[in-house]
Amino acid sequence: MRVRFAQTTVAFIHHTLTRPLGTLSRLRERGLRTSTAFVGVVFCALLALTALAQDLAPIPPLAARITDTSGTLGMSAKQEIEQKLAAFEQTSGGQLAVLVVKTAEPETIEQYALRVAEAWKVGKKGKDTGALLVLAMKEKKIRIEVGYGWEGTLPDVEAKRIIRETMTPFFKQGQFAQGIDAGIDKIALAVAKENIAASTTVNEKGQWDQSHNATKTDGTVESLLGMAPVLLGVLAVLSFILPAILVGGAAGIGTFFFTSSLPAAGIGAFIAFVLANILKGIFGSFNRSPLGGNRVHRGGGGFFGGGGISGGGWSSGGGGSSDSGGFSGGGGGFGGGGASGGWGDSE
Amino acid sequence: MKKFLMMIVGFVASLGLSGCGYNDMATGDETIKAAWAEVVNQYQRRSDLIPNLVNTVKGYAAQEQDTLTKVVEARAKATSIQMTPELINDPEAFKKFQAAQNELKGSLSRLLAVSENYPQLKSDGLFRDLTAQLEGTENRITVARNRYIKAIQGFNNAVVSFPTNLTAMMFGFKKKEQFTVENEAEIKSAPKVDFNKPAVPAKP
Repeated sequence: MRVRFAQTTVAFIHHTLTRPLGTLSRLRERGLRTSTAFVGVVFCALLALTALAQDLAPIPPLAARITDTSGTLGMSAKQEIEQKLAAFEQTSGGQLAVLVVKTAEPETIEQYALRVAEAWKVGKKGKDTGALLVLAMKEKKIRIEVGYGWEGTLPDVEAKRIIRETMTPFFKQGQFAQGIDAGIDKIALAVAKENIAASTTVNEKGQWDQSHNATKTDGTVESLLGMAPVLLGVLAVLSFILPAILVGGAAGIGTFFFTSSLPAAGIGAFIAFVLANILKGIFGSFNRSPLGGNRVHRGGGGFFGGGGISGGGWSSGGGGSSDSGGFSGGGGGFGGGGASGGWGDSE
Repeated sequence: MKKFLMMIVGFVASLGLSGCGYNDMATGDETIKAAWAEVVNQYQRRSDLIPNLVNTVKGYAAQEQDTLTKVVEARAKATSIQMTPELINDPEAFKKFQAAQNELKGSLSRLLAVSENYPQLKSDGLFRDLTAQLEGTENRITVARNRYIKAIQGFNNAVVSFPTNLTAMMFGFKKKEQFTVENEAEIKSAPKVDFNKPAVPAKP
């Protein structure tokens, strides 16, 4: 559905873009116009996509074990909970983080909590021993999100019981710090029980795998991929002015400057050469076709799809922990385990 | 000279293969299989919970025979479909599978709605635990389905869009079946089985 929406948007933008251009540049080559329109379409489509993504509730950066963006908890209460969580981390071999937000809307608490868990990645990498406690003050909802590694330790039933029997009675009276504190105690108890049962995990503390390097390299690759639509646009313009072989040469030199590696330059040149030929083919057919306008739009849609893969993809990324020094997730995975509840009147 | 050129082209092509999305599509294919396995796993978990749930409800609300039978029948129907990885590549079987799971989901939420009318059942410890598990499983199903949808989306994007579609054509990667549009809203919303708020107004 979103794709269809994006396509109609692209079509609309394309029409509004080409109309004034058409009157302005009657003397100009028609292909130059279409390629300008194409670059515009790609940009606008990307803008439209980022606008769509911004509607969700933000995920605060992970800087401490307890994060409160709603201003519900006092300074001292926060410090106390932070210390308790740090101690729990030392003994349990896992991580527990707490987040208190004003609202999770427009998502449900389950959807929001999972998004936070996926971003923060609390828990030991490979073991997924992490849990996340999320409170949404406006909706009066709470969720315990449990990492894969603790799904046996802290099953849904237990999580639900902690919410229903331990935490919500405090919350109903507005005692949020006490409720969170008591909930952490219960979670710690469940984990401790399990650790005694399988005493191998007790001695094994190990370092959190921070994987900052991985994040860094991922960053450059991502920024290069992010530039792909821009590069394609430049290529489209160039390929109209210059012969394909020259475009290829220019791209090769450009790649060499960027990467200072000869094989990469060769590949860049080759790809640019092929692309330039294809683009020439497409634009050439526009010039010949009486229905040119219509076909430009279709071409634009196709290329917009190309921009899409560079942004999205299915790589789940490695570390992704913050550099803030204070606290960071270890790289734990989540799959929707845990339970939710609420302290509203209807509960 | 010609030979030399061919060699260069071959070298560049082999290196460029990863750049043209071959690796992405190959790993994407595997990601989809893994995501699908998780979906199946969670559906299985749900159907494993049902016999206990039905028995517990029966103890308190035997007169809801009709609702109970529907759940049992829907479960039998859903489990009769083999959930193999090949299902993803067979649109017809995939639709049947989806329909069966949806029917099961529907009959389950009716059962839970009905159980609201039995205060004794609601305060039963086992029933509470079972509903908590069911709630958790529904959420896991949602998560697994969402991840499957995302995996498919990435793969299908690569298969249809330029220039990776050329690679896809060359190596025979085809678009995969997505969860259908009719229940898209359902996929995006959280599990609707809410045990706390009665679907039918509770009797005062």
